[in-house]
Amino acid sequence: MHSTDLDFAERADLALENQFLRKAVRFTVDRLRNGKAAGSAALGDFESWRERGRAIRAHTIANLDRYLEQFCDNLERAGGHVHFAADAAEASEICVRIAKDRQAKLAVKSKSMVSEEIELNRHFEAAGIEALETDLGEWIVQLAHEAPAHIILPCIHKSRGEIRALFERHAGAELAEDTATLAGYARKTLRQRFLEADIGISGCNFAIADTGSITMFTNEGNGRLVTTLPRTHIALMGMERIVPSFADLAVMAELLPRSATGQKLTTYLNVISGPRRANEADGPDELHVVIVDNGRSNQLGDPDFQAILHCIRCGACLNVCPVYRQIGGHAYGSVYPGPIGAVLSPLFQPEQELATELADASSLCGACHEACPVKIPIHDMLVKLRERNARPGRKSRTERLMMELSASVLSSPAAFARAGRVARLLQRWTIFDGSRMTFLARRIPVVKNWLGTRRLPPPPKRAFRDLWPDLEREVKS
Amino acid sequence: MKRETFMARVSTRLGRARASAASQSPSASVAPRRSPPSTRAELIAQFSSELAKVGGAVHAVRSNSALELGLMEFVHSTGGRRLVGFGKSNFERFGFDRLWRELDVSCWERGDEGCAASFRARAAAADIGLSIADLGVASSGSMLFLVGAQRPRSVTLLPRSHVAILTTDSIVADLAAALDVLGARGTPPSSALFITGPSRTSDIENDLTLGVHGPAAVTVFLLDN
Repeated sequence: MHSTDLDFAERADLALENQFLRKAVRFTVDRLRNGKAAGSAALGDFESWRERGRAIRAHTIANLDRYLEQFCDNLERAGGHVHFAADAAEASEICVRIAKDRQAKLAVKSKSMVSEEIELNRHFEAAGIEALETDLGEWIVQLAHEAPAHIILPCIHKSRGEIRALFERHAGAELAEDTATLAGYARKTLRQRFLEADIGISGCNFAIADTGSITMFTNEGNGRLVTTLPRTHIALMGMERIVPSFADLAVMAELLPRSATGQKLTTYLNVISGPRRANEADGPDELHVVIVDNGRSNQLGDPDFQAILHCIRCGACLNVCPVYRQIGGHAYGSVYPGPIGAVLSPLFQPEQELATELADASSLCGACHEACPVKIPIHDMLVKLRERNARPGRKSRTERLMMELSASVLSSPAAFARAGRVARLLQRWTIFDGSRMTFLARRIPVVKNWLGTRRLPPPPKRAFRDLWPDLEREVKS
Repeated sequence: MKRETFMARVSTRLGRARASAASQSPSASVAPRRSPPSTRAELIAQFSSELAKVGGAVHAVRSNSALELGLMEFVHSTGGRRLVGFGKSNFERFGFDRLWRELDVSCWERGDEGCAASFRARAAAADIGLSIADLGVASSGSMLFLVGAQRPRSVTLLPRSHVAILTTDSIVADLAAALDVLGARGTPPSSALFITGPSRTSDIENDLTLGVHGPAAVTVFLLDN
């Protein structure tokens, strides 16, 4: 339900009206946030770990060219193939070509944010190849023709009843509503498809330059099935998802699961170094790694935004964000929701209008920065994005005029006092707290938005600056 | 896009002509971080309690014969009939005898190259996978499995129940120590798998359920050697 024909405010309104969604989002983010608190406390001295994580990511990105070269050389030495995609279209094209060359009919996918970013499923379908999501939450979302609502838990917006209905329609039979039955149906149905599939598609949490490995942190096991059963494995990787060595992986592996769910380690951590080797019973005959740029390299060398490439996609910033907590993921209208999404979306898709308004969906409280396991100053970036958005030509004439007017009023104490007096009197004589002369109140910019959900504070009889001489005397005596 | 073009863009954006040698990664210079358990007994206790926390079961055994007996009793107790296992030579050091005679275990053997498809079918139909872990990780209750010619991926993945043998001398303190061991072995295997308990998901209304894709049960026979 990417309602991209609606603007952000309209999507947010939709979300705010959905009581189930709001309750589910609150419950989920609280659970994940508490998990993170417990998991990081168990590690001890979490601040030092964060600093190590930040240092590793900063070092890697500052030397990205060298580490990517090293990774590619080592992966090829291990028998893997490396592909380079400048943008989303090229990334999808590469995957479709690999699949077509192998006459593939079915590709099974484990969770990959990059595959969502490049809209891989749409391209596969256009080429007549089925792309099947196998992460339970992603499969549910795919059956419902919707988009994920959370980075870690894609279908928090679906109730048990809705999931049962989707599965019953798929099964053509009745199913019980308990979790074991529903998950059991997914296991039975998807297991058969894994065995039939020609291509397995996965993401990559971290590539390792030193060994040419890709790693996947997963819990369900579908990530292992897609990299074990089909003959061809395609891994999609954002160009920044790399660390120098195993020693660095050891640090990131303590940070990622704890920050995502609070787990000490995910159920499966798979370190893949090339395809199946001679005499091995199973595993893919071919491994293709597609390294995707799609707007990422534009951030390199930009002092304000390079650090966004440090992100490890744990979702911790979503779970602490007061805005995400109210509206959930869909309102962002982007693959990446929450604070991180509000920064990534406009940077990755600068041409899209949708993304610019996301920078306003923040209270700039900085909770995202505090929660980030690699200390990305997300809130500073949101301010910088707002600055960009305010450049000439990007805001309406009225808004610019209002801002210029405010600037002149706010920069002179005398003008400010005068303006306050006039506004106070005007408000008192006309709309008061918004309940009088409503025909007028509904036409005043800013005020009309306020009145949609609440009353204005009634204007005081005397302003603070008029009260101050008396107050000052009181304080001093 | 060509590799050269792709890489050149990265270097240009970073403000240099081409990739230069990087300084050492900061991870190497940071001191060890937690005080790991020092004695073997502490490592074993921590491994067992961490694995139990994520839903795994641990059976401690003190001899090869107790291991064999324990495994056979376990298989009977689950009602499972078909087993799939790592190559038999892996188990030689445990001196199993009755187990091979009395249980129906399909093992993958080197040179079985043409039979990969049939092995896969047997693994997919098996009730229990029988494996040997290369390392245990005390801090998280994880086990490391290095895939190889005699150590297929499917055994630890396809059956509903996974039984692993782990010797107590192969338990290390934490993931960093395990990755050190892995790195010191030279070229890594095609797949190095850390497994921490049974397959899990909370995708349906945050309700935890086990075994959605991988094994629903993970049982470890911890052999004190």
